[in-house]
Amino acid sequence: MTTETANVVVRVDNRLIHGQIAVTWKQALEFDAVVVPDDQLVNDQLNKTIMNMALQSANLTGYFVSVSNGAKMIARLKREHISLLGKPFRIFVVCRTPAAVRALVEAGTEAETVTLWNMFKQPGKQKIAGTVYMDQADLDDAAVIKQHVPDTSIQGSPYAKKIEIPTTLEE
Amino acid sequence: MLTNRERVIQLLLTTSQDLAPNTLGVSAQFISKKLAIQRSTVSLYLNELVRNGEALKTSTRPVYFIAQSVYEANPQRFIHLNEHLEQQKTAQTAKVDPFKQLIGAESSLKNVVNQIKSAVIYPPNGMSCLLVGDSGVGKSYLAQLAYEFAKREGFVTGKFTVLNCAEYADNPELLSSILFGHVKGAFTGAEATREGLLATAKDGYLFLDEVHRLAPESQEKLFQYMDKGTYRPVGETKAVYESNARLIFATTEKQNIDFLQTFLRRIPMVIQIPSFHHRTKQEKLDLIANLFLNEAHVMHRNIKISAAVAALLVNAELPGNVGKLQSIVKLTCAESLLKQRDTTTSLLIKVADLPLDFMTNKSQPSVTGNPILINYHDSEIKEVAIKERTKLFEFATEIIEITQQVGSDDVSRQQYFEVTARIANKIADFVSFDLRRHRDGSILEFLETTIKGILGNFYLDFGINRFNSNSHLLALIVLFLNDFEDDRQVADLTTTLVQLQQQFGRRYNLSTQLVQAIAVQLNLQNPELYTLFIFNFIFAQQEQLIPIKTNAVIVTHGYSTASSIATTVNRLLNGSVYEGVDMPLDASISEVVSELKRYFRTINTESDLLLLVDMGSLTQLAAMLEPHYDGKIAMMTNVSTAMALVIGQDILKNQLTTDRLKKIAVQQQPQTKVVIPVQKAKVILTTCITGIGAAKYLQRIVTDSTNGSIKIVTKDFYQLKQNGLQDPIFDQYNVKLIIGTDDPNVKEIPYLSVEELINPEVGNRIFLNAFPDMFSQQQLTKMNQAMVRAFTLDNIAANLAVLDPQITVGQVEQTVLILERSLGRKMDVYLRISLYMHLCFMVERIVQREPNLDYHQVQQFQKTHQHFIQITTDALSDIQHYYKITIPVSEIGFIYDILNSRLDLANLD
Repeated sequence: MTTETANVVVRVDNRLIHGQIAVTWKQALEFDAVVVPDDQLVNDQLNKTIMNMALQSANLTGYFVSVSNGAKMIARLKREHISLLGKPFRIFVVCRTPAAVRALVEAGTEAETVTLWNMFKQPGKQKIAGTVYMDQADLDDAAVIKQHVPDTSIQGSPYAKKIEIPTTLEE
Repeated sequence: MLTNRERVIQLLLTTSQDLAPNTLGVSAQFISKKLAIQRSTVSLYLNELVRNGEALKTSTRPVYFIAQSVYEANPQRFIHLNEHLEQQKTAQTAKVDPFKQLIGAESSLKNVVNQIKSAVIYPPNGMSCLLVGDSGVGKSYLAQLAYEFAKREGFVTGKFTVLNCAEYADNPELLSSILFGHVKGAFTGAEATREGLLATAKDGYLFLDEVHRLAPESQEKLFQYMDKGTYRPVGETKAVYESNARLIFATTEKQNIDFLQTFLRRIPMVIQIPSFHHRTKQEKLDLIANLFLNEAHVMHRNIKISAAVAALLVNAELPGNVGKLQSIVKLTCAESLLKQRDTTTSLLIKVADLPLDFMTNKSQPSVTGNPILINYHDSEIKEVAIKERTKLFEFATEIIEITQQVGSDDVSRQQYFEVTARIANKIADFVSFDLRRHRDGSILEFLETTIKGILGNFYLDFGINRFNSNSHLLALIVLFLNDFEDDRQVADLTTTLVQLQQQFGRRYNLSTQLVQAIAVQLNLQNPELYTLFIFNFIFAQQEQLIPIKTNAVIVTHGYSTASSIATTVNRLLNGSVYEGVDMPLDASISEVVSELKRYFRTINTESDLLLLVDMGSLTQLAAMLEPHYDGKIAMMTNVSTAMALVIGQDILKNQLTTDRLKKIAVQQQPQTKVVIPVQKAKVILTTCITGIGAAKYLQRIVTDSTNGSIKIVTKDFYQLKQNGLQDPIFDQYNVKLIIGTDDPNVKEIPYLSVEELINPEVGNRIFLNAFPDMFSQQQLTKMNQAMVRAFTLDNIAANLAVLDPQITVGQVEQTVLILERSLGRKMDVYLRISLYMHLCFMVERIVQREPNLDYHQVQQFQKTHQHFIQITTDALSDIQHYYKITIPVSEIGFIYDILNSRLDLANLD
């Protein structure tokens, strides 16, 4: 594991940034910036505003980009903030879906951990654990992610226990 | 070899020496022949010599020259020449009247000059006169001119001596001695006999200024001198002295009755000098310009006096009169010179250059002036003429020209009438339409009343019975004259007026009568000019050529409504048909009737009467009029210009009948045409790049809140940005507001971003501006609430598995409201949305028995934030009750974190 990989933590949450992420995760992980690669949000000024307010109150800077630009943005941030203050610049990446995370890791983003939560119930999706509902496509994405980032799991909050992601849906 | 010039000089010299006593001198022709030099060349040289003072010339034909040196060597030798020179001198004096250079000698000082002149020429030794006037009006100057006049006329040969009695007022004896002289030993220090000013001024004039400061004894002595021509010097007891010195007195005293009465009794002629304020405008301008000209000569610079300065000075009430004006001009030039050192340019005199003490309590003059240009080199003063003034004198010239052409035969008179009417129309048009009025309306109204009063007396005589409409026009013309006349001489004005008086005596007399009445109200400079214009106007109005059998009157309520319809129609018909009677807005029928009764007195009440009125009951009016009118009365309501015109055409042809009137009434049905503006719907344009979000809620919410009166139209952002206001959408709709995620920068139309829209602090204001009449603050608050709720719903609905989003959001809203109150903190809209969403999901997870119990250090939190936990639990009690759940402290901890980061809850517990 290189020093660089220790800098990026990825979270999957359908709601992207909300109060809990901004506050709780910040307290636990002490990251420096938040990157939200999301094609829908990037053009949704109102939701961006609301999320930005939450981030600002936690003294964080948010970067809202499209998924395809996500890896680039993360790399850029890492480059710009390298060994600043003598400790690693930590980036918290929030994606709406495992598919987005997969796109990131396939584009070369090296992450320390990937956790899933708040993947809401939708037609065709089965409950895996807590608020995580997945279909086979999600599981497949998760499997690919796990190849790049071994520490990939379901986790409600920073202090909750991690749950293994199955590879196939239960019949 | 001598030059031609030298040869001419030499020949003049030698010939002069040989001249016989009875000859006048050498002629140019003689020299020309003798020297064989062209005569014109000889004349040139000779005249040069005269200019240089080396030769004298006679004003005879032919002209004779004589060398100055030869003449001066023995003047007595040339008897004949001497006689001639003497004649020449008197002739010259007679030609140049010293009063010519006095500004105003031809107008406001005309009387003064005449009085002074008659005092001078009064036989045998002139008449003593007293000049009375405020200080600075020019009394000394006038006395000086009187002396010069007397001298040039050959009445006096002596000196002009001045004594200012005020200088010695403290020492009457000394003054007396200065005036009358004293003998040796008359008083201590009188070591020699000394003659007084009366003796000094012998054969001349003695001017006694401030004569009211003269002691009574001295005055008495003066009176004695005036009576007998004799006086006694101080200390003289026996001998009586004689003098022929003429006396001019001057005083500023008008109030001192004692002094005046004595003096008035003894002084045959008292001359009042008008103060600056009472001089005509043109005189004032001349005075001002001449004072500036003097300064221009001193400074060797041309001057341009701004119109404002000229106007201020002309309108100034100067207690010190011309004297004061002079010092103002000097100070002003000095001030201006200081600012404009470049001597090559003209000195521009601006208001700021005027002395401060002059400028205090000065308001801007109502009468505007013209800039004045002063060229010191040519001593030229030029007032930059203004258009209106030029126009005025053009009109005057035109009237005079056509009047002089008029003969006495009828054909010519008819032509004259037509041309006059044309000019009168031109003038009427000019004063009505082209002239910018700057006097206030009260003068106009006042003048109108006066003119109306006089014209009213002349209905029957001249058929000038359209007095209301006419007096307004005439008042405008008079004001035009008053604003722009100056006292320039108008060629042939007087003779033209004499001619008019002879040919059109009665109308001419009416004109002069009007002028006299106007003169009471306005200050007229050239009354003849007024007479000319008024005559022109009155003459053009006469319509006796075709006697009209119907008295037609328009009666309406409101200032000048009737008279303006009457004037307009009369002008269109080219004849006077209608009389306009303007009634006050609140005039009752009986007031209308009494006004009409006054009019009846001036017309033939046996002919038909047509009344066009604006409104009211005809039956009642007819009943009230009937006893006062002898002829047939026809009436019609709803008077309009068009109606009056149609009827007027009939009246002019004397074809108006009852049937005809009825027909016209039918025809005059008002036409209606309502122009409906293409009502473009007021819309809000949304341009969401993504197509999601705002547009959806907006449409629904705005439609709900305004009952559908505001439409939401969606437009592609990129098209809008490219086309701007040219986009066809703006032809189709009245776009009041653009809402979007990005500003398309359409000029003139306000833009509201979605995040501003949801924030009432920004959004409400913009909504109110865009739709001022549609929203109340309350409505907007409601609309915002709905918007926030809709937005929240949109964000959570898809993600809630078990709860009904509508119900839950409503409950959550309530919870947040309670929380706000309990905490005493207002949350901004973004925080509220965050919280709504958080709470919805929280409820859902607790209902699903998956609460988040991972809040770190829950015990610690529970201990330190009891108050917050209590408040929050209370706020959530309805939800807990409704869903039969208990909110764990851990979840409250998360709520605390969210709020604490935004609201500062530090001092809560």
